[in-house]
Amino acid sequence: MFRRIDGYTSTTITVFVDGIPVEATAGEYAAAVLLRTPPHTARLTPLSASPRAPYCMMGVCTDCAATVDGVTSVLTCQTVVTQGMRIDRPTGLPDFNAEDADHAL
Amino acid sequence: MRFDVAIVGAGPAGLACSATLAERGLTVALIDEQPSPGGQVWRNIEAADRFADPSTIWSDYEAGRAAVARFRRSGCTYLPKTQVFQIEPGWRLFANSGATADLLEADRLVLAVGAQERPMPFAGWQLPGVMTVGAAQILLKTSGTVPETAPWLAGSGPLLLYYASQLLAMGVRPAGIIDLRPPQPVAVRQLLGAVRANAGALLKGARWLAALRTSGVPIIRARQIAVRGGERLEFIEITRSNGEIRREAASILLVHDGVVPRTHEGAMAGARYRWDEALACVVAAADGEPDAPVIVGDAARIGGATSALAEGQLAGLDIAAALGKAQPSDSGLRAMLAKSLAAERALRGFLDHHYPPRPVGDDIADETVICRCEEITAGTIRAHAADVAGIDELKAHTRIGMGRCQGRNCAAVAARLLAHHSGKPQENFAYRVRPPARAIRIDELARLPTEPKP
Amino acid sequence: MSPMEYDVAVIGGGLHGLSAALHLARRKRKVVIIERRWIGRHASSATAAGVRSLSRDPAEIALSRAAMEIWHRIDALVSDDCGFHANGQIRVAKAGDVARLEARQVDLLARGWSHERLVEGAELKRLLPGLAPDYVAGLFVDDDGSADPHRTLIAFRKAAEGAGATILQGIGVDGAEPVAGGWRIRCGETSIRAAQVVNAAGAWAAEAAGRFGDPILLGTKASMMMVTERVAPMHLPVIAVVGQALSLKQTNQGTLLLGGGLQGRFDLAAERSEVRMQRLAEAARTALAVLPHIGKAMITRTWAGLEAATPDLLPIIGHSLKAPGLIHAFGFSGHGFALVPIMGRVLADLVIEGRTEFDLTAFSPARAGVAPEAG
Repeated sequence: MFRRIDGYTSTTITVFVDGIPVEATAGEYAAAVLLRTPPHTARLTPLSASPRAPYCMMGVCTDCAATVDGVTSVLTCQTVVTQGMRIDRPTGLPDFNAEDADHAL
Repeated sequence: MRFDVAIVGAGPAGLACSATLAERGLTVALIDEQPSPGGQVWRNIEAADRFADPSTIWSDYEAGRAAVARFRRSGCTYLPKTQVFQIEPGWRLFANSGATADLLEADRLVLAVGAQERPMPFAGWQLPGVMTVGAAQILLKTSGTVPETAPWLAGSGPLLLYYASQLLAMGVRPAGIIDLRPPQPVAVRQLLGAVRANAGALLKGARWLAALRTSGVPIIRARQIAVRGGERLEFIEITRSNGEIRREAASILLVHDGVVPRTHEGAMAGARYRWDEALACVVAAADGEPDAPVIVGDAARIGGATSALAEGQLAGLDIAAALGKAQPSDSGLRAMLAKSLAAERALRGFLDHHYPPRPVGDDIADETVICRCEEITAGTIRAHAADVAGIDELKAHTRIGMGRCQGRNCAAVAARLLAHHSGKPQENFAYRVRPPARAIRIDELARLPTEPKP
Repeated sequence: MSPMEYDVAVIGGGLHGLSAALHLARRKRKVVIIERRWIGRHASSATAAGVRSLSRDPAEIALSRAAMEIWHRIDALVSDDCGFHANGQIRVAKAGDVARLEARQVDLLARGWSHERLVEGAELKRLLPGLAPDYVAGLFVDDDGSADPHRTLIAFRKAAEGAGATILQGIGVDGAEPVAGGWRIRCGETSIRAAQVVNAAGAWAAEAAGRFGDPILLGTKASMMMVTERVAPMHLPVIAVVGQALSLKQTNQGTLLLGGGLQGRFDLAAERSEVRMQRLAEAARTALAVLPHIGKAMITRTWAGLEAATPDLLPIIGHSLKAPGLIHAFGFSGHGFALVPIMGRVLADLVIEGRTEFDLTAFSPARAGVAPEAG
């Protein structure tokens, strides 16, 4: 959805969106990377599983929440990228079941 | 950690206030969510050397650099990337920097938390592809990015014009601008006042407008918009004031309806606000209660960056004087700041009239999501309007405002809709604010120091 | 102005008041609820909505087990399931506290109760996957659970109104005087006549009792809660911990709700209560000591709700000793939600029959301290 302007200079780093390497620049926010990476969304809503994308970029709307380095529900618009950061678009609710949980019962 | 003064927010008001106090030898903590000082208006301004021409990226760029540099020199304790999630009497501020949640104590509290964009609900505003003008501008300041395809802009207000002019300057031509201001005469009296007091600022706005006109970008006067699409924005439906509906294919829509004070921190600290019908938002009620926090800048009432700088500095002088740190030069400084404030207020008087907030009423379609977190629609609010006592009971019935955003997106709209449909008066302040003002993880909260035994 | 005439006036439009009105209206009594703010304004919407017979004081067990039977078919009473789900409730203990659980079970069996069951080993692990290894046993009630407070409120309100009860909101009781055959209650401009009165005014029940010439001393609780974002289903029973202030559950919304009776600050006259964040941090630490793997769940709201508390934490239920025709039902001290469906029946019995099948000795209004006469 967004592209870099001419003449912008910043260190390039690599982050991973849903496991795929993506170029980012130092100092930018994870939400900005999501908005450049198709399908340009951040999450599905917990109630109706509707897609949402970063909307306000200032921590108001919370629609940019995604999983960052394995931690769920991180506001990506408040999270500056780091080299190798893993940003994953959640497909369901954050899951806090213990590893030995067995719900097949 | 204990300080003479704790200040929340590192925008113009917070920077000026904390520098003023720290320069006078007081111990000051400035707590801010962002990684670098500047607030939203000067967000990321310390990274200006990434841009070929920073003065096209930040408004009042030189003033911003100066404010940040002064703050950096002042000796204030700066806590960036830190969110205040609770404020208890005394003052006890609970702050979370992710790794640690901590308690900060201070004799005086200044809230300079700034503004947020006024939520502007219409059918489909929650779809990917729609975002705020402010968000797009933050992406410019922090990522150096602009929309990849010609964006539509809708709404009104100085920020929309400014961003459109920035896009044009960078060679991005908007697909069109949908002007959603209700039809109204030009506010001549306010305009004349602004011309007399602050011709420079008006001229700046006039230049943005002229650039837009010259560019030939279509400006469409309309009453309402709706966004259609499955997984994302595909079409914008534009309803003209004569009822005619026009459909435009679109992939990016940037919306803006002015800015409103950010109030969650103030509400937690027991500050009083009152509803201002003309501004269609709450403003801090300046009743000067001794136990109340000091609220400055846009957090109290929207005035813009220049005004916030002056207010922050004045608040700093007042607190310094109260703590016995007044200086002989203060009175001259006060006079200068008062003059600057008067000029800004004259400008604001015109802007408030020229860019009135969008009405909230019948024009909002039933299908419109009002609470983005709990996905509550205008239709649901209407269905309850007759039988709830007020906004808090509406919340109990529908879960509106109970999501992570803490009502920031829906509270004022829901209260206005409720007032419109129930015939009851508009409530002063929507929803009780429930801490934490910013969500906090269980393991972060667990790191708070233990309460001392009485 | 001629007063409105009712058989029964219920003071307080919380869940207990609604349940009483519902049962009375179903039994053809003309009943009015007088609610100062709006239905469910305080404790009834601030509750953690635990439906618990576990760990009850022996005096409350009969009521709580009878309530449990109703909860399991709650839609027969109020035409809604109230979001009730019977995931069970468990109180876990470390090795050093297991003897307390065993003693409790022995005591209950001697009293004829067998609903609390000691679970250990593989069964405990199955019930609470991820339970910290130092917790080795628990007392478990498998048909306990929890409900959705807002749904419960709406359901009881609709049922009460559907049965013919009148609800007057936004008026409080300003005064009451005995008249032939009952009471005349003054609520601002409104005057209400009722043969009998149920005092279900919760945190403000002492104030209400005072209007009827029955001075009562009552404590206040401002129990704090915190709730997380929605998380994936965990199929947990409601968890309590021996010796710790914690109650943890997953609500039917999918959120994790942490409570357990930690106290916030309050101003009863202003009807306000606030959380104390450092005390909530204690609950967070306790929760992580029990379930270490939930640490990254995001807390989105905290609050404190106001209600009445008695010195022995047992409610005050029964006829006023001072005011004829006044029946008290308050002071549930933080654990009244589960009793709501049965309390309505008990109160209707007290109003209509003058007696109930339950032994209310332990709940006698005679226990309530007498407030000093106003000077």
